[in-house]
Amino acid sequence: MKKILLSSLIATCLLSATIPGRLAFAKENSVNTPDIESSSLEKELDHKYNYDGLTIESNIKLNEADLQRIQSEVTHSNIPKKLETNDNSNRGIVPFGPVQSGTYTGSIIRGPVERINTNKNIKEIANVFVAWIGTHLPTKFTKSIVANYFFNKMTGWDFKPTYTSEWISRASYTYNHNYWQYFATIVRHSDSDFDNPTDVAYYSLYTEKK
Amino acid sequence: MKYFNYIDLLFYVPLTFLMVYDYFPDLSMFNFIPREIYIWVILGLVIFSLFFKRLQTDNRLEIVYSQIFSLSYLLFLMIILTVSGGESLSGIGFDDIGTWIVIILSIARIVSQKRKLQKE
Repeated sequence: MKKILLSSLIATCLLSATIPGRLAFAKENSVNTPDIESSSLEKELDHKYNYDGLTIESNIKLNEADLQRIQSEVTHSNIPKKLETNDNSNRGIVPFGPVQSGTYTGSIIRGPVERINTNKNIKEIANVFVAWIGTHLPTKFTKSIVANYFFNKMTGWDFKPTYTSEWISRASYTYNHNYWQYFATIVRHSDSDFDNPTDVAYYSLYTEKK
Repeated sequence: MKYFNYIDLLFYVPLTFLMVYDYFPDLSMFNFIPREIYIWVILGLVIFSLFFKRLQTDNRLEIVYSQIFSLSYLLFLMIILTVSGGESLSGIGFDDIGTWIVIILSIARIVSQKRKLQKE
């Protein structure tokens, strides 16, 4: 019986941890389906930079000017934003003009979307798991899983929310101006102001004929 | 009551106050004794009991009865606080999936331990 319960708990943990992310990713892909003539999506982030305290990872090699532009783009974005939590899936394509006219030839074609990831599922799993572990302590006060769970919830020791913003942009392909090159930018912020970026993932997605 | 030790009250009294605070944080009594006091009392008690055999138990029947008491008492308290018009700040309640999971786990554990004891 113990083994069955433990296996079902582990299975629930794994399912909750993997399925929502995959569903969200599938939803994103289904929105953006332009005709792709050639694909150059690289799966791994090979290049990691630390630029003025900001960690930037990318699947393409970036130079100083690129890093400066990305830092400026993620720090001083003055374009309208859509705020949503991870419970809300109402997301559409919102076209915007150049991010900073004159300095950047690309434009944002989707987003930016700011997300407050409440980590509710992870919190619940952690609370239940810690309550279960507590019953194995050699003290009579923690033998009740319900009491342990209530205590965990009420003390609120759990995970804090995370704040991310993301958008897809495109620019003329450097090597052939008849093509667009698409980029995805995902920014992690330290607080709910969305103005203190800590990490940036900058992906080159694919190229498409204009 | 044979298997209910009065020393358990040391744990359930602060836990009860903590639950009342969670449902009714504006009660004036919490101005005099803040919520953190109850948390530290419970944590202190758990840590203290790890070093004193008197506060530990290997008696499986006692453990089963203490689990039944805990489950019944906390559910009863949750119902009373909800019926009184309170709403949990931390999100515990009958609309919380985690609460249902731990209730089911708790019942399964009690049943399994009772069966084992009956077999022996």
